[in-house]
Amino acid sequence: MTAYNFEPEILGFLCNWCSYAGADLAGVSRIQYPTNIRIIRVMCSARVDPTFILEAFIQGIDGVMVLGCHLGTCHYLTGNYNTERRMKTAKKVIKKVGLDAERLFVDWVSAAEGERFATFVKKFTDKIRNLGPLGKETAFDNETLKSRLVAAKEALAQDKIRWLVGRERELVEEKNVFGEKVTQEEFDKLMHQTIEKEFAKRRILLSIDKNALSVKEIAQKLGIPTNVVLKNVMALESDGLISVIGIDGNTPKYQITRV
Amino acid sequence: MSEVRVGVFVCHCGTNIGGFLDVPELVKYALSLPNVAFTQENKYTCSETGLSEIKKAILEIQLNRIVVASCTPRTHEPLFRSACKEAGLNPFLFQFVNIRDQCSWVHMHDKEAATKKAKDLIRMGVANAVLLEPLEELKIDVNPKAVVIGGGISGMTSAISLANRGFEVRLIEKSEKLGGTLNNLYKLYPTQIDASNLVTAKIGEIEKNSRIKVLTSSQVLDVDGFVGNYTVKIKQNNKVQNYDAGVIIVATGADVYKPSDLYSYDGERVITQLELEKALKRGEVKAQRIIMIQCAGARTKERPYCSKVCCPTALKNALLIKEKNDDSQLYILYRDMVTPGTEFEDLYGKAREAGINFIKYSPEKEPIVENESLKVYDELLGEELTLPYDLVVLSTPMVARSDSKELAQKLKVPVDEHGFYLEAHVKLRPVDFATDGIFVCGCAHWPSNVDESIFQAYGASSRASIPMSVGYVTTEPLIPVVDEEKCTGCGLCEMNCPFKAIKIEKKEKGRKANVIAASCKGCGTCGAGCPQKAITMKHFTDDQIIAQVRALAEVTS
Amino acid sequence: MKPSKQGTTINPRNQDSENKVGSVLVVGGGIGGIQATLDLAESGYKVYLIDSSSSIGGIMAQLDKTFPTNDCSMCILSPKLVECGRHLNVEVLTCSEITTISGKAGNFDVALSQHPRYIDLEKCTGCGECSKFCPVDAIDRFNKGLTNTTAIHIDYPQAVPLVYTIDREKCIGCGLCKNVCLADAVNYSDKEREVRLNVGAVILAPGVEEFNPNLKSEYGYGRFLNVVTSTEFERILSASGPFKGRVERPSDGEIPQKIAFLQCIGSRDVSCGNGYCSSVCCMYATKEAVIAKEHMNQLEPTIFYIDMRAYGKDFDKYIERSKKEYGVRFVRCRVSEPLASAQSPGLPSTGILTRDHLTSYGVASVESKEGTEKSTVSNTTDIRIPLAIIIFAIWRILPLILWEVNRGT
Repeated sequence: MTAYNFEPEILGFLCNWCSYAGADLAGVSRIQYPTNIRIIRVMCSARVDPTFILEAFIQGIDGVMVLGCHLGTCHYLTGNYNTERRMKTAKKVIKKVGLDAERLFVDWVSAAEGERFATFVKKFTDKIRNLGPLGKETAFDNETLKSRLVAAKEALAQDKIRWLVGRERELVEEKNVFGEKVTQEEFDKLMHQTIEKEFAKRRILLSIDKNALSVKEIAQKLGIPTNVVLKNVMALESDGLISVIGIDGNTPKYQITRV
Repeated sequence: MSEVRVGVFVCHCGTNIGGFLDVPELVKYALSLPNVAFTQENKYTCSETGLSEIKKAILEIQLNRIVVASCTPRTHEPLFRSACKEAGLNPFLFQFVNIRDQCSWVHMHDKEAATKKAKDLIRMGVANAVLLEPLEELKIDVNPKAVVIGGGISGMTSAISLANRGFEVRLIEKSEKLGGTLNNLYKLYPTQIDASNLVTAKIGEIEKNSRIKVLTSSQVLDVDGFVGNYTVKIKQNNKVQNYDAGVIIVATGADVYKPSDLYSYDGERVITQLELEKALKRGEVKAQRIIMIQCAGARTKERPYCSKVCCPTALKNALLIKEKNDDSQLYILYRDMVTPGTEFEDLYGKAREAGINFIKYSPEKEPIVENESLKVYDELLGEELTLPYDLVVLSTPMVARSDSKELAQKLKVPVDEHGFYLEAHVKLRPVDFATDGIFVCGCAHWPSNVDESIFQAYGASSRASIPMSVGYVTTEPLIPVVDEEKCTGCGLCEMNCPFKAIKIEKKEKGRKANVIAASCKGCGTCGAGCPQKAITMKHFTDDQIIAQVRALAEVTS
Repeated sequence: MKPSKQGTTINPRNQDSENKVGSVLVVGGGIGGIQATLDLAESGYKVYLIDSSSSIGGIMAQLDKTFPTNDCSMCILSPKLVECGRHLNVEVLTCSEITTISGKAGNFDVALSQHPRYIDLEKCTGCGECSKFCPVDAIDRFNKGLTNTTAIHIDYPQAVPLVYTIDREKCIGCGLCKNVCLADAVNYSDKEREVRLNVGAVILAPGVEEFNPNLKSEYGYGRFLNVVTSTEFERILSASGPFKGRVERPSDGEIPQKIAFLQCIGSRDVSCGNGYCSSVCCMYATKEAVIAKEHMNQLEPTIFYIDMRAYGKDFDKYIERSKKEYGVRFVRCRVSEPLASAQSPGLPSTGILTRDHLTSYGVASVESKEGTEKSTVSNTTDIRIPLAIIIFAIWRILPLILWEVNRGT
């Protein structure tokens, strides 16, 4: 497929009560839109785990749409508020990987908005077509991109980020256990740090998946400064996920702890 | 695991699909997919013929997964699930692929691309179907008893209504006698009947009905359980007892705001409408020159709502005073006269005809109550008036009871920013809570007139009687399943569930999440957020969704 | 609580149950009738839901959004419609009207007259091929005459039952629909038939009708194309309506600048026999103004009212939001009549005859915003403002007594 006739592959997650129904209405109304999109139906947009988005990119899909009910009208009352926060975090992680975060599109479509659904699909397909195949905006080769995406997916599957995402609303809009409100800035800063850390840890784990490596070797392979690698390696060792296989001269080598 | 055998049925839907996609090609393609043992094309899969073909194939070809590629699951999934069930196949082993509303109808001018899309969708559908598991809907018995909290007009009405339908009711009242706010009212608008007569009549009906047990001087200490199986702990005087119930109705009413800080309120010359009511009942209103101020403490920043009942109440009381004493001079100061409907508008007309004066004021220039007279800027006249008075009556709003939040927490139901109970949906489910089995009516929900409180009570008891009439509730099959090995009891699922359907409980292995299937709606938000990925969502598992994504990305042969 | 495989069913314990029929007739398939039907059906009663039109849904199906939540009306109605169609305890009888009822509480005999739709309910799949080819135009009553539909048509795509109907008055009998129908569902020999039912109780939910704006001819309905009723405006706002959700003027399809909502036309008005307040119009006019602005941000809606009645839950909050967030203007005055403006022929403008103070208070802001009208404000009592659409806001309760109920002894 040349750059001239690149046709993007788009995946959409649509919720049963609103956006999926809106897409059906577009059909009933015979509103035409590009054929690139494939839809997975879920009962609520809140079913969409951020790891699903990353899986889609790992599989080479060029763009993902997540469409739910308009805020305040979710069939399950507050589901889409969760979707909003989770997808916001997913975008941060996608950006961290090096991809254009616009490859994830999140919006709200009601069951009566067939036209709106079709317009979103048309616009998004065009946008991805212009962005090019997945990874074009990065300088990474396919293998590096894939390994970064896998690390990102695994980071999103870990409890740290998931817990913070789940607690954001109450901490920022209501109160923490001390009765205080956490500012959005404070929260975002913590989230940023956590994403950095978790992503780095996962990349490190992937890098020593086949062979044991030293901190320097890992740093070189991943393009991360050695002191940062070391900090994360220590954390991974305390978690019990990696262990020292041996010391080569002055250099400890680390491998994944296999059970 | 026994062999998975998938049957794929591709529908023409007349020409709706067949005219825009290459259906024979799709059928051929489906047969090439792994695990597919049988394929067929139908003119209308949803017709009697189509359905019997599916049933026949299940039995003759021993299919254990059915995939229908046709219109949309939103209209036809239940139909095909029933067909599977009739052929002895668990209805949750059925998979729908939408190749009409989301394919042939929206890609009418590119048969090749549309057919390729349909192939991808069928491939994704089959990949999902392979991972489907049989699911059961369980029936949970419902206790045919009700607890009604609050012995005012709405509480009494719902108790009588439920008892007449054959259910046992416990009617709980905090004070010493039934009647609620009605005990403080004089005459009711627009009919001018005595409030006390209404109370006596209702109490009479209750006493005659052996199914209603009244507990006065009683309070709810705690509530446990779920729909059909609630346990309510009640303290009467100093005795504590547990009552089991299938449903609970909240009818705790509301208070009237006492404006200690407004309009020089002193409880003697400046009083509330409720205090006027009590005085009228005792025949103690001697004042000649009376001024009523509407929206006193309502539609303000602190209480930004209209309390609905104050305008008709003011009109009623003004008319009562005027009828008794034609020489009295009455003024009603208003921002908007809220008299909706037929009878209230009539009341307004009558009041004007009776010579009651109406002055429109604006919230930017509130009336000022001084020692002997009141100053108000008449918006319509465009002038400031000074009105001498003997009595100023403040029409203050209804406010939520001070303990509404406390009771709400015990019931695990929400209240809004004003403290009134928050219904499941203000239009579609106005007397339900999102938590199944608990209902609300009357002023506990929002300021209401007596007739509205009665209507809502009928509504709440009608809704409450549904699970009790049926005798059971069916559990949602699309429930989360918790892996207790992975669950750390962090509680995130419980915090984010809108239906209180997953709770952390102390178990052998520590704090673990526990699913209440009767309350679950299957949205999946707990599963997608669990930090330990300890939750599997039945029928929409992670594995299934990932399988669909991977099936999509596969290079087609 | 241990779940049991077989639930115990408790029957309502009515002692006197002889001759009591366990079914209910619900007259009227609007949201009231539908909710009553579903609640009864869930409780175990058999329900006959009848409606005189060809589908259930009533007025709610014609609305764009509902107040105060701005929920999409069809989105929240449609699952209930589907449930009525599917529920094993519910039998929906459309195109039906009651001719007689006799009996007493617990046992009523009802005769219905079902007029023909010329389509077989069992066979029609709602695919729409017939309508695609039908050569005859008919007034689209669902869209309040703002567009045309075909003689063979369905009210709206989510209709229950999803079955087409032939408007016999418009149909020329050409026979094309029968030939193109893929399900062989067309039946030209369909006739009026009588249906007899025996039910235990009857619920009347016939709904309301809109006030006939021709009874207040001074407001220009019928004379000016851009003077519309509120239901017409709901269809204009609807994404599935004639303009697909674009707010356009019926006269020329242009998007209007200013929209005036005139409240209490035909209500609180003894002169046309309706002294009462129609209760919902303050809220729905505000909603329509808000939604119109959401669709097209350049619109400037103004609501001319007597009293704002926002007494329900979250209603007052909605009104305040409409002022602060959407810039909807509220002017307390009675508009007298729209006049054709010399400046913009073909468009109505309005002269607001008010007392001096109100003139300078309410209208000055319009004038200064407007800019195009040269008339001075402060001392004149007579202001002309070009307005694009004027909307009425009234309902009238349909006379409930349509038939005699003969009660037996």
